[in-house]
Amino acid sequence: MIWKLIKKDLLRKYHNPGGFILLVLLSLALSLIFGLVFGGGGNEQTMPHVKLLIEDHDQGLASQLIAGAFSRGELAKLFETQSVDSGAGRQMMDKGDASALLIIPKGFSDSLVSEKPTELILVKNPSESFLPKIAEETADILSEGSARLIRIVENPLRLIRENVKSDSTISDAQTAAISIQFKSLFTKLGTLFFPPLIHFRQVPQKEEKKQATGSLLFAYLLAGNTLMVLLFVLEIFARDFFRERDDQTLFRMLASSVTRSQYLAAKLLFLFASGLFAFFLVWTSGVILFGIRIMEPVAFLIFSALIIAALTGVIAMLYAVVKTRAQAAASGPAIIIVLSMLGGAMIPIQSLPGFMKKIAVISPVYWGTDGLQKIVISNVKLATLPWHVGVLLTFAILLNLIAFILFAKKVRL
Amino acid sequence: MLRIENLTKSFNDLIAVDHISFHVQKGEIFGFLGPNGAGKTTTINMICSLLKPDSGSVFIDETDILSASAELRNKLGVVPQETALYEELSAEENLMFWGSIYGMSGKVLKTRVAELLELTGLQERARERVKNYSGGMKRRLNMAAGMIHTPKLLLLDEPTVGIDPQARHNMLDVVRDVARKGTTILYTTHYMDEAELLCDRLAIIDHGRILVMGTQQEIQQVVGENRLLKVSGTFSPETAELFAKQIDDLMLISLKKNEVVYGLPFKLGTGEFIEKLAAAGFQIDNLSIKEPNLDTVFLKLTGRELRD
Repeated sequence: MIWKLIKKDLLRKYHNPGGFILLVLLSLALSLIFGLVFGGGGNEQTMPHVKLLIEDHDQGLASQLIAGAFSRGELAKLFETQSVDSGAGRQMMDKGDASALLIIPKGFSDSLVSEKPTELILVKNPSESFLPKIAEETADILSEGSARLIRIVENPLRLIRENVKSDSTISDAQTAAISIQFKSLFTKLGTLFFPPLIHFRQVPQKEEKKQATGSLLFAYLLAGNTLMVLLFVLEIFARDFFRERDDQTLFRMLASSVTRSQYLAAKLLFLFASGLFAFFLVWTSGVILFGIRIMEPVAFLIFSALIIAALTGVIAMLYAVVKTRAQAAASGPAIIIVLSMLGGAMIPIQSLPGFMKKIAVISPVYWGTDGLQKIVISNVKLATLPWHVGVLLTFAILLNLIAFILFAKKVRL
Repeated sequence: MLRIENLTKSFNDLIAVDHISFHVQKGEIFGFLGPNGAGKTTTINMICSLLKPDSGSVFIDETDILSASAELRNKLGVVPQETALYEELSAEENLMFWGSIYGMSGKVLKTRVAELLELTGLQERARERVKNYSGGMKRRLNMAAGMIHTPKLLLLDEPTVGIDPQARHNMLDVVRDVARKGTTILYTTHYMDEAELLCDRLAIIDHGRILVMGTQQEIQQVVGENRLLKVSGTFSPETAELFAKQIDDLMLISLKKNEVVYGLPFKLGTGEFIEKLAAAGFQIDNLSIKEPNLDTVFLKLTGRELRD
């Protein structure tokens, strides 16, 4: 019986697909527009360049290590660095001439060597959302790396520093001591590094499998946009709860041998199936149009189903609580926008004020967007997202169950 | 086939159905006649077990509908007041769906769909979407959907509301045809003429209570052979009441400001009656006569016309 009811709704939507297609296109259009605004174009040549100003007051080993890293290798493709004098960087930032300003304080390298706490200052351009974030993440990784490197070589460095401070000639014994320290260090590290467990070799096919850097931005945007659009799709389809009651088709159904439970189960499953279809339509289009590659398809499929189940619960709850079609039409879009905004579907969660970041966890959109971004961008497996999976599963079960109970009471004529 | 005992339903302070009892025999067309808000649809909802009565029982084939199995519910067909159809689907798809939820499938269902499309004259536009249909066509399809599984008891809730006279005439023909084939029909309406044309027996309901029940002849005995005469003009209520007492067998049916309805005895001629009115001091602006029918019965019983 449930399948007959779902089939009927599918047939109805098949005959009248206008709104559905429009919403799916909206998701892609939003990603395309935002992607182009932020510089994505599907290949590396059109990747956004993060203009980074570096104000190096230290001029030491560690500071040069960090500053230099931005202009070498893969990072050079992403960053355009410019050394600036004290004060000039701030002025350029005020004019909006750069995405971020990295200030390396005086004594930074010494502090690292002496194991004293120190800090890097990153000033971000508030009018940009994504590019300063890239600078922040990269600087964070580089400073962490530098600190670890300095700690590994701390003992030999201490000996050198003491000799430099005493301004005396290094004796043969001292040179021998330093040599022994370095030998001991390399012996220890040698057990970790040699023989190498991972051999690098050039494999062109594997290169092709890599997510194009430009596609990353579209994948990032699409993860959020899809969830917002999905909520709108589900909301439009959920209007049938009232439509069938007002048109008396519900009356006719319940006067037959269709039970309330069968009707509600069919409606929720239909919402889930429609959401699933819309979701995969958007992502299939994303793969074709933006060159997005799904590297963890199993995680992607399972996590997507979880997201849709949770969002089905959100919309079902909305319709279980409101009393009329007009109330649903008025409150539905408002709730969707708030949940999407809080959840990072419209604006990256990092750009939200602190208090909003804290309350974002109440939105299933937050868990869905964040998890999906990790799966499509960082290619993580589902096992690395236990919180996301757990929270979405809880949302899905609780919301659908409560909505079902409330509806069962409500489906009276 | 259908037996209703002491059925009552209230919504807060409003008593929608007030201790009604009646029965409908197999193959009979039973009319349930009353104005809007009389309690007809509430009664139908309780018969379908979609509303739980406050008290009383509904029996179909001597089985209580509240303890009904799916098999018993499948004996019941409903044609709701609204056209309960999916407008995005075609007539054929609608009928296929409604048939499938009654457990029909395959060739049996296809044959039945074709039969009903022919019976309702929709076969030529069977694959067109319902949203493009006229009101009359939707009404016919609405009726076909209620009959798809060949129910033993068909509940028709004001099925002809809002359609043109010709379509209405066609629909009444379909109802008669279905009854001839053995289906029992409970037909609610607020059109007196429909009830007169169609029903073997009927009950007149108002404010949730059955006022009178029986065959048309039995019901018309309430007003006897009296014609109803409605007088509009200038007169005092006292004059109107006194006038009724002065003439033998004259019944005062209703009295409102500047309007009075009398039940005129057959022996009294209309011309003679008008002369008497003028002599009693009535200044007559308008005067209308109704021959005895169900409408006059309703007027006699409630003091109101059905359309009021």
